[in-house]
Amino acid sequence: MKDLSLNNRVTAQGHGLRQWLLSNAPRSRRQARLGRAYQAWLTFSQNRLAMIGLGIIIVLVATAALAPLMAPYPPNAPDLSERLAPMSSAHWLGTDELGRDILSRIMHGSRLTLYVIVLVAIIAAPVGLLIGTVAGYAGGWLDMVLMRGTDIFLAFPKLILALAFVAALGPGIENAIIAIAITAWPPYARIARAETITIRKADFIKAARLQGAGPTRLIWGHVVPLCLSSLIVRVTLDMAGIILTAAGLGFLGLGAQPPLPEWGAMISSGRKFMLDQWWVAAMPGIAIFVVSLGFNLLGDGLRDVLDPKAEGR
Amino acid sequence: MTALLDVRNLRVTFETRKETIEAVRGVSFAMGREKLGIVGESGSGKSVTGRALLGLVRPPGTVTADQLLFDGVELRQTDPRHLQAIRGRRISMVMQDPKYSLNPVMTVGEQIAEAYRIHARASRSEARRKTIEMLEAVRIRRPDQVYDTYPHEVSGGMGQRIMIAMMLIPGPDLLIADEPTSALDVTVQLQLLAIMDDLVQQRGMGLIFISHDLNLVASFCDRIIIMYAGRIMETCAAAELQHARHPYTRGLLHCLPQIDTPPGALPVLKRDPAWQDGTP
Amino acid sequence: MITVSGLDVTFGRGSRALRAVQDVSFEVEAGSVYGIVGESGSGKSTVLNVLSGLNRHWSGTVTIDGERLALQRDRAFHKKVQMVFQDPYGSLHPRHTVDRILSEPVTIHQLGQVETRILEALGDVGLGPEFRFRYPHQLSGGQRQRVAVARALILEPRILLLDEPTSALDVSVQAEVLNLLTHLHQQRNLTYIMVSHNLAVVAHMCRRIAVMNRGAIIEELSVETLRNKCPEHPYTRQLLKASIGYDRESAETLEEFDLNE
Repeated sequence: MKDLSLNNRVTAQGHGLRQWLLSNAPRSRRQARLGRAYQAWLTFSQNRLAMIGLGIIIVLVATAALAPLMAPYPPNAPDLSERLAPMSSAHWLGTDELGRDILSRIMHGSRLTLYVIVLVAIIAAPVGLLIGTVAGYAGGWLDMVLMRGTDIFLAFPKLILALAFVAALGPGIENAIIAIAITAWPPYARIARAETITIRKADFIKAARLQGAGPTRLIWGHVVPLCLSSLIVRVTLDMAGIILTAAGLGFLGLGAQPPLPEWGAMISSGRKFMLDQWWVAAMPGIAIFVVSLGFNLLGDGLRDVLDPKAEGR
Repeated sequence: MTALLDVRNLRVTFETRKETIEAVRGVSFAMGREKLGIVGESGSGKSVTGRALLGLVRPPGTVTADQLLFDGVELRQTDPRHLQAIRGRRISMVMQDPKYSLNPVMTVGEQIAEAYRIHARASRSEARRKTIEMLEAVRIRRPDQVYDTYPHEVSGGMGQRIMIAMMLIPGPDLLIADEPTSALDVTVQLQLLAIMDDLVQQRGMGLIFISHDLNLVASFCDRIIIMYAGRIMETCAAAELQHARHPYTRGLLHCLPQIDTPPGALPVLKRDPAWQDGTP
Repeated sequence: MITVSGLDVTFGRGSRALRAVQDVSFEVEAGSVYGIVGESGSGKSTVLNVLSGLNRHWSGTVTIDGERLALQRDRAFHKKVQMVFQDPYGSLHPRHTVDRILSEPVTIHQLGQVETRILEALGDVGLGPEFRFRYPHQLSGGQRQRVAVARALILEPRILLLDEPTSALDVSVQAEVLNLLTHLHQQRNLTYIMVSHNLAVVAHMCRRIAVMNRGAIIEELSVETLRNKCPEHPYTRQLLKASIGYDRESAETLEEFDLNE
């Protein structure tokens, strides 16, 4: 890459904190790290769609956190006199077949949604990262064994495996999470492995080996930081799929069990009333759609930011 | 000698969110059918100049000039289709690494033949014949065998010969070579330059040779332009390089290790900030 | 100081085996600068990789400071022998600050006094403390290479292996880095082995030079012989002629020395 002379550049001017963060000669570890993060944020915030995605996710998290305070009605309070009521000022999104306020149920349901995706991400991503980097770094028979194992898990479609799991262990949201996580990690392992194989050949790895660094230090300190970008992007983009899988399980009655306000289960029970009281099924559907879209937009935006090519190599 | 190329006040600017980079800042020169070398370090703007002449600078880069005359045709005003006809057919470019400039999924011969048929209405067999001829002209032994090889199967030197064949087959008047030999061994480099020298002379072409290697350019080209920070510091005849006057050129000459220099510290180039603003 | 005897490196197996290094032997005196020159495919970088320990599939004898080297190297070895790589963009981790890059070897070898050592190392290569927390993309090519040299020297090695250290640098920057290397060599009485394809650079830095072609050393000469332009082997003479510059007649006389193209 061309080393454009630092002479004929006209850098953006700034004041105070901004200048400190954008400084090309940071004076402490903290300043260097914050500076990089700030520059990443600047790039990210230029992308309007990505900001919309971020906004949606922030709303999701806020709703989940504040549901008990924000929801106008308790999610599980049936009111049979108000069954299947259309949208009104009393019930902004209408009520379902037991007279429960749909808006409140969706709000409380967001907790479940967040619960599922966070747990799946926490389980699947580190496992995939570990297996992928070890396989890629070690090579040889270890690589082969790990990758064939990964292939086995990759062969299972999420929903089918989840069904099998649930058949074995019984329905419930925790089992659904485990089932989804088990099918979610293989692509991460593959990405991590591919990146590791490329990184392994770099001179800075050779230099570190020549300093006496062992495999653990090399993988953890050198390889993983470079894999993280693609992994984060991939995980974010997968969130939408995870939500849909969880909703699918809920729809089949295999995920969260009633009366939990899981969005997929809500769509399932609203199916019967789709023609006349469409809002019972449509509202949770829209919620799923919006959140999936938010994660997709966020993931795309992150990809633009975390792509090493854009980062002034 | 009427100028083959007459450039006045060429400016190329890249504007990104973070900063504005002025890669080329007011470059003017003229050349006939001769070998002109453009020498500079990284960031001098030499490669960007070459690409600007071919219209290969894309947004966020903007190219402006007071004049960009190629054989009497003003390149700036030409509409894109006409420019496309000029590019490749009358002005060609050879770049540094054939690994990146050759299509990996087509055989070498097919690519050259395609280059020919884009600019001349010819049948496939005619194009094939011309391609073999061209491969012979760049001194490739057994051209019909090489015709069917893929780019990854050939060595660097051979790849560059293929690039030259591809770029010269439409019969251009001007060839721009951007560091064509930098990735090659020194002996292969010599052979390739000899081929380029002969072809350029035989066809009466002009050649712009962009490089960072001052010595090489001085021994190969007729005239040299030295660039720094987007501006031309000095223009001189290749034979007169030792008598160059600009302190940057002299600095560059002196800091090069030569085989017969006595050991000791190499004089270091002191960058005068005044050079940023151009020659006085 | 360094003795290599009968070094053989073969890549691949069976019919596709490539003998990258064939029966190479040479000696390097303590405190001297030894050059290995050759074109691509000559095996010069492979020799360096064997010496540094990056390549573990070789046969022959390598002795450093009286000790025979095994295929696997230990920490004490790494403290004695360090390497500087060609590509300043690839030899520094893009996500590590200069501080982290320099502190790592100190931490691995548990040398202590990390802060002092880092500042000293930076000073030794002509970089001030303001470079300490920069990321590689905030440094120029020459500055990165200086950091690479600082990293190699922070463990206070006796031997430095230089793999085309200035090939990827601008001419003016190359002069600075070569001067730096010369200065450090004299100051610390190090032993250098420098590999390059550039005859002029090697002639400038080294006292004795080995010329390699296709895996074998075809000639070993002193720098004076080179400077007086009277090497013995025709390949060396050809290399010398080609290095001086473009000459139409020379191009005609180039012979094939079992080269690819």
